[in-house]
Amino acid sequence: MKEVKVHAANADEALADGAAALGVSPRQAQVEILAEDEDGVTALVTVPDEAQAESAETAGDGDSLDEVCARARRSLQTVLELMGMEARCEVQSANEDEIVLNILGEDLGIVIGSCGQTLNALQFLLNLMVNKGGRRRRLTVDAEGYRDRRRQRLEELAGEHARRAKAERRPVILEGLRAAERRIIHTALQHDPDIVTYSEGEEPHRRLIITPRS
Amino acid sequence: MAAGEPSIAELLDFVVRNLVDDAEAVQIAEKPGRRVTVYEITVARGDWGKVIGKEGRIANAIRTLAKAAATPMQQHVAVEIMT
Repeated sequence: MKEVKVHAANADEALADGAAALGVSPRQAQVEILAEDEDGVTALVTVPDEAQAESAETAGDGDSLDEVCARARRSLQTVLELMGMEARCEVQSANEDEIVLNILGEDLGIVIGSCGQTLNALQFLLNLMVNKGGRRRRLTVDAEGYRDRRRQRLEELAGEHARRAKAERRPVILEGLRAAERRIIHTALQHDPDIVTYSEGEEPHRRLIITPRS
Repeated sequence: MAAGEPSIAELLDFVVRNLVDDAEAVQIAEKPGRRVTVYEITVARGDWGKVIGKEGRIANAIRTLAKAAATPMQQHVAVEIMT
């Protein structure tokens, strides 16, 4: 059994501090208040032996970045095979916030779908499947560089509509864009001093408006 | 598994099992029809939300995936969630 004496504002903070000092999760530790004074509590935080053993095992419980990447890649590969696709996938980049998976193969039109709707459905489901329980990491699924091409197309679109809004001195409305696509447009135009962009309405009918700055 | 033939029932089974808490309770029934093959998904009551989602977003994503998988076979599929 490991133990540590801590002083903190309250029992919860004592537990959190003590657990951190002992290198375990607060769930595995117990807190016992030894004394209270005007600026908090003195507490003894203990970790039972069985919890220590469990902690060593669960350290690799599939929540490490490598494990999540491997699980995400395996799940995506299985889905592609069950869809009858002759494709494989790889982890393109990975950090604590975002994991990008890329699908490689010929003729990936079926996994992309019209306007990327199949790719987006796949990405949405994979996020739910892989992030179940543990801490959430955003998974992005790409195929044949589709996301980059779509981004470029949206940036061109942003430029064209911004020019039209300025030339015709009236707001231009863009409909049918997903949140991530609207963000690309907002970002592309944020430094243009002559226009303002914003979104209005509720999903799934939310629209983006490009309007000349008066 | 060799790539080639899609298996919609297995695809749905894999995806749904990975979405729910009670994987044991997942059942996929395949009901071939003349024009449309219907797939009925059954999950534990407590897992309904995990396969339907806010405004049916999860259910719709599952349908989109099943339809895409069925495209090369020129087969129409319908996915229903049994509640």
